Amino acid sequence: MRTSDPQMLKGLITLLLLWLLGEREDYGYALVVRLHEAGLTDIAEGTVYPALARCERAGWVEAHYVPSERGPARKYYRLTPAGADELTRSLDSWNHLTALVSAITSKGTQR
Amino acid sequence: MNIDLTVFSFAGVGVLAATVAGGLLGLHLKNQVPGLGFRDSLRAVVYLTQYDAALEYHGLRRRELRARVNELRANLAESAADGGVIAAIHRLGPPRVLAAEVAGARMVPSWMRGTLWLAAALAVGVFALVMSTSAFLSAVESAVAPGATATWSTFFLTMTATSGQSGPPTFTTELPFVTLALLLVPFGLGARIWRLWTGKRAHQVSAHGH
Repeated sequence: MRTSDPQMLKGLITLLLLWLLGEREDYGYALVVRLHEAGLTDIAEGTVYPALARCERAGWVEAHYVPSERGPARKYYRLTPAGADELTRSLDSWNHLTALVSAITSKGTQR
Repeated sequence: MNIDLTVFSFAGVGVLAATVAGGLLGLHLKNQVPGLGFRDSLRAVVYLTQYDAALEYHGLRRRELRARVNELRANLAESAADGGVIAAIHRLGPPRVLAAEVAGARMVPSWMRGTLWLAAALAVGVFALVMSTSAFLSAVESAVAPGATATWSTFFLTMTATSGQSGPPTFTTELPFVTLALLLVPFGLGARIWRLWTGKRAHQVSAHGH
């Protein structure tokens, strides 16, 4: 089974979370499950929750509480307009970077 | 003030045991994760309590801190269903690291932590006092004639013991209020220096992080 580079994933986690929250609002563990279902099984909760907290501090997501059938209320996150702008900026940056990497690696200079 | 040492010791141990039991019960009720067995619940409570304490050290306000801990409780309840609590906790990583990352690596002085250290220092002091008193009374009991008194003075207090006719000796302790007030001076000064020092360090960490 192919594994992902943890450092690379850490750099992309904000982009991925903003994208997922742009699709629909969700809570912490559900976002972890969605990432796992997408194939990123190496991403752990200990990486996702701090990233969500950073996004909240930056004003890219906002939280609200939904009562749970058992236990404490779940904290749902949704994308803010500032978060949508950040997502657009991050995607542009990522697309630019991948295009550059593809251009370099497709030249066939590697032995 | 005449106090029988035996009564004092039993009362002290009783109060200490009740305080510890009450504190543990309070922590359990505050941080328990629903739907878990006893052992798993205990593991989760220990983790969440460490996380709670670490967040407090990073300067989160009480309301935000409770919200963060409750969020993790809710997530942990669900993730524990996927492979058990031990695996869920392993995926979270050490509570201090998680708290530092969630709080954004801010580090500020904490009055609660300072108070805990003060309480620990007082506990050590009380223990030393009880042990010294016990040794003093043993000496009085063995070396002083029944009905006679002996006095022991230190910087903080003066203790006078009267050897009992048939039972254990009784003692009186004089602890001036000015002594208690003097003990607060190094606490206040230390706290001020500590706040300035850690506040400066927090600023450096914050500046480095940006």
